[in-house]
Amino acid sequence: MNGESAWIRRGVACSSPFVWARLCCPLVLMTLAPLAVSADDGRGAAPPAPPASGAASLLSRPTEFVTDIERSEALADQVGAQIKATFLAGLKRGSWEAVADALTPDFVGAFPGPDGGQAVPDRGLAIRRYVSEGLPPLDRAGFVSVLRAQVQAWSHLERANWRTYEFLLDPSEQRAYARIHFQLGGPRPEGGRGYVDTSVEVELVAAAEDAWKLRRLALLEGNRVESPRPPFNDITALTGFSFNESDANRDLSQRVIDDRTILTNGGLSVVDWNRDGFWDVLATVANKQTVLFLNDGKGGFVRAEAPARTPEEAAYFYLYLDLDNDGTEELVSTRVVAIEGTRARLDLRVSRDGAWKTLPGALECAVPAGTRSLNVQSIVPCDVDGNGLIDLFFCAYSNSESKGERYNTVDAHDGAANLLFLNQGGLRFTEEAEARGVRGTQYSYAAAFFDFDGDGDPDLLVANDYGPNVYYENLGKGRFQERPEHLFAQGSNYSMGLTLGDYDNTGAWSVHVSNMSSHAGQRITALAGGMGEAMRARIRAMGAGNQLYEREGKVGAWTERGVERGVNWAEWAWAALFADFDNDGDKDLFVTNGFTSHRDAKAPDY
Amino acid sequence: MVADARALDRGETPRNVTRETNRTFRGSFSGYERDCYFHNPDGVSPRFYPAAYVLGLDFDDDGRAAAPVDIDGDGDLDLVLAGLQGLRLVENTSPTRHFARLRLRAVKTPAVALGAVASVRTGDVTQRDFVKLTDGFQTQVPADLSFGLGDAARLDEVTVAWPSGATETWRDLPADRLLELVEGRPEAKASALERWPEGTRPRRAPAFSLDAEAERLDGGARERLAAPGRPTVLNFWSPACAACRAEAGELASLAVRCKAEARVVGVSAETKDVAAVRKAVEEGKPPYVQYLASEALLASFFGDGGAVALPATFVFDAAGRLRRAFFRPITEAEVAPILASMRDPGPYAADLRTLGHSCLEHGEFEPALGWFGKLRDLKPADPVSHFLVGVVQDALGRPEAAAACYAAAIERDPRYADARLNLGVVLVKGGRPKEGLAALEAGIQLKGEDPEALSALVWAAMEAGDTALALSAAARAVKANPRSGVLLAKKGGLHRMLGQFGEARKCFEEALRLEPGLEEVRQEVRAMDEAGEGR
Repeated sequence: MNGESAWIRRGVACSSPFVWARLCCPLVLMTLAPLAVSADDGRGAAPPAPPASGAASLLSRPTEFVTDIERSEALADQVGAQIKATFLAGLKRGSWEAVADALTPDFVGAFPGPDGGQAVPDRGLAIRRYVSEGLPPLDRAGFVSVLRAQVQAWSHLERANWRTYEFLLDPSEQRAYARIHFQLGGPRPEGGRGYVDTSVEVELVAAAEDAWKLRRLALLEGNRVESPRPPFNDITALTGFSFNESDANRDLSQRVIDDRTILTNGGLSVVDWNRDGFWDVLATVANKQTVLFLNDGKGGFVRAEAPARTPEEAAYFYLYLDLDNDGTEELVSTRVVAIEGTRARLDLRVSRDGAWKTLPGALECAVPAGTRSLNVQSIVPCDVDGNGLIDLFFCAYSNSESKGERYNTVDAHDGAANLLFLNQGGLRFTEEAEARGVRGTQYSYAAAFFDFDGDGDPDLLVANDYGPNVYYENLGKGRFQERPEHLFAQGSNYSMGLTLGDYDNTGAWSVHVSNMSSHAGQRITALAGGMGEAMRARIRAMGAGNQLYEREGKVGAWTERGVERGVNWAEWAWAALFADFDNDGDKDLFVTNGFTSHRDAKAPDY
Repeated sequence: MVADARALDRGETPRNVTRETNRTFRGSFSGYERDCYFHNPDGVSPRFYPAAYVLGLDFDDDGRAAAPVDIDGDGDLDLVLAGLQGLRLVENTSPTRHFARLRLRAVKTPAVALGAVASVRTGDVTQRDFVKLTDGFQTQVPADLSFGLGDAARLDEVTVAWPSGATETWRDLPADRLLELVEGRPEAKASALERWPEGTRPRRAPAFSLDAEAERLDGGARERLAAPGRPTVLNFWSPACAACRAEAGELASLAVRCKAEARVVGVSAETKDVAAVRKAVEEGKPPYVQYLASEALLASFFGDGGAVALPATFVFDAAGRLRRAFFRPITEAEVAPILASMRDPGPYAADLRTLGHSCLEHGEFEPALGWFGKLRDLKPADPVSHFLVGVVQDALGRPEAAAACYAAAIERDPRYADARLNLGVVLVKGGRPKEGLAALEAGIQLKGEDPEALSALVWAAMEAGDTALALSAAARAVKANPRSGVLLAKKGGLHRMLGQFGEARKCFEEALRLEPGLEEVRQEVRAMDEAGEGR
């Protein structure tokens, strides 16, 4: 019993830092690390095959391969770096000899030219859809000329990606089968842009001492998209849209990012604050600053006194709406004003004589004894009981007791309890989550109320980190029943955001859930033997990307179609929005991505 | 012990920190990932197509929140983004197509019509959306609903399913308007969107830069416009421009008011009639330096061959980054807050705290001391900042320095239980067991019968040689958490050390019953068996 040993309680004790570093989420590791260590002779039975290979005649997925994760990953890194340095670099330089030299003399490929595949009707963009069927085999020269045709209209290559999501190393370590996201993009001299986005399978061979080359490359699927000109212009600097920050302060923020100790920053509230017909923006960085940008109606923003004046008052998120039906808005924030014993006071602010003040007693709830902090990420409004007053759901992420001994990354229930505040009128709320059947203590980031079951009242879908999402059916009058069997509650494990839309005007709503997709995670999952199918499926889901739930007709069964619709790969995704950005009459989907970018862009990435 | 990592925060600032960082790794973590845009092609499409790059939307910030909003009122949705690197406003200049903007006003339920579903029919296409207020991630989105209509210049039908349960239909409404639909009111109100006037719209020019050179009006010398280290307000004007004359007073006032922190610079866009420029300056006597533009300079700010819209004002920060462009007269009241926003607010406590915690958790005590020391300097009245410095001093093996910090924390908050507990521990370590025990007792009184705190008391009592107190504290710890095998085992260990083998065995057996996996306890029992203790 000495005082020092417990100063630091680490979140996850990890036996293999290497494997850890391969995964964008620590959880996979907890399951895989022991397996990686126990990988005995380095060989294993093939895991279940992913979707069937397109060009079966060119390549076949091996049944025997190295399952020692460290060995396989080391080669995957080495081979990937080489192909980037030879093949991709040759493409970027327009050096077709170098491109050819990255291929073996007996290379055979199957890849479409720019006019291959099928044209997809669209007035805005020129789109071609490529599939594996019907592609003629190409020899080395033929393949190089197809690639050349793909990029020849562009003045240079601005985007070139080669990212491996499956890597099966032959036991000889002289050959490997891999699946790759292969993407190329560039600007046309006259102002347009083109982008070729493909998935390919390849065979790589060690042609000479440590010189890996491509021996086979076959398209699995892909597409080519071209725009006459990029219609989106970044006008941030022209409009005065930036936080208050000095260079010294930016540097400090960047240190926190470099340290990878930040999850979220703060959000946006787009409201017509001054009722002049233009949308204003309340932007915030938690515990730092909140800036109110008033749209001046003349090309930019002016800064106005924000409702948070000190760093401590700055919340992750604000919701600005009229909660007592008197025609003026109140402001609710994710900030916890105080925790006293087993009561937490939350932040409902009212404007009095131009100053925003927290209204005492408006939003209070019970917290477990000993709670010292509570982290709320967002707030979702909804009249859950249909009494004509808007209630508030708080997505609580964690509290001071979270990530303790009961924490696990697969199905964590030691986050903070979500809160459901029932509006009693007169700006008084009572917290009734548990009494109404909303019992989640997961790490919640986002939620949406919607009449999913079509019975006339709003149901609730909660997006969680470190565990499955939760779907609650509204049984009427704001009494909820968790439905763990619902499709929404399957599969996701690291959800950050939600959006809903009838994107193709069929009358059937779709739900898009932002998750993580990880190339490294996918590679490793394919290698790990010795786990049950259920666990494998679960782990695969963790790195598999975003989900799109669609339903048959207006009230039919739900099906997950992220892969089929081409929206599942979006890396570490956060916000997702269905919106019709080109006003063509159907909704598109925008997704933000990324976790932490080190100041040194050339530094390695997990 | 008491000051485990979780106890470091007392709740004022919820931590938002991932603990599972691999310290040996230097680099990004899913860094420089690009935003995605999935384009939905015409008609009912079986799939979306990745178009972020071709549309100019594949930003590589660490993206988080995003809002679709028609910020300029031109009918299409622009994007506002908030990521770890800051804010972005992205203007949509897609080819003009028809649109509908619906503002729903409920009467029987809250006016904002939260949850109302609107269906817009044009020809044989019916689009739907609903009022949601929040969408995506940490974002409140505009309450108005936006629909693209393509070529349709009118809306055949709009049906709204109100939250009250009522459903209403409006027919034959104009496109490209803000349509206000009020529950129970058959007439829709259609009005034009409030829109940024054409001349004031932000325009992308080849090179907005302060690095350009210009001729001084007073001396004829060519100088760089840049003044490193200070924000600059660069105003283009000409003698013939009436609006320029009208804003001159605002600029003069701004120049005087912000003299200490920024400089205002005038540049005459009139390059030919220099006499007129001089005359205007002599008459107006602007209290800031004046330059004469060259054609090249004008081109760099207004585009080659583009009309020079006057007046125009560009605000640069101290590093020479553009922070705002006005293509219209400015007022002092709108520019001064921009300059104020460039002032150094000093370090944010949140950053210092985060960096300190991160170092502490990874055993990097000297850097942790640096960050927490800065935090304490920033917030000397905050007891937590003193407490944190104390934790690090203790970790560095400096119990006396730590004790002074905890004492400072207690002075600022006498009810700070963790500070009293930690003070007790470091006093015992520093060879002052009596005072240490008193501090621990005081801490426990404030905190309640906390097993961890009581465990600390056991340890301190043993250090002080007070075995009776140690035993009673161990018993209290077990009572506080009777389901903990670990606490029982600790009590057993104490009994064994004191030769009370029967009691020790009882504790160990009960501990194993509660937590059969406690291998160390089994070993302890075996050791007792071998030594014949209590048999």
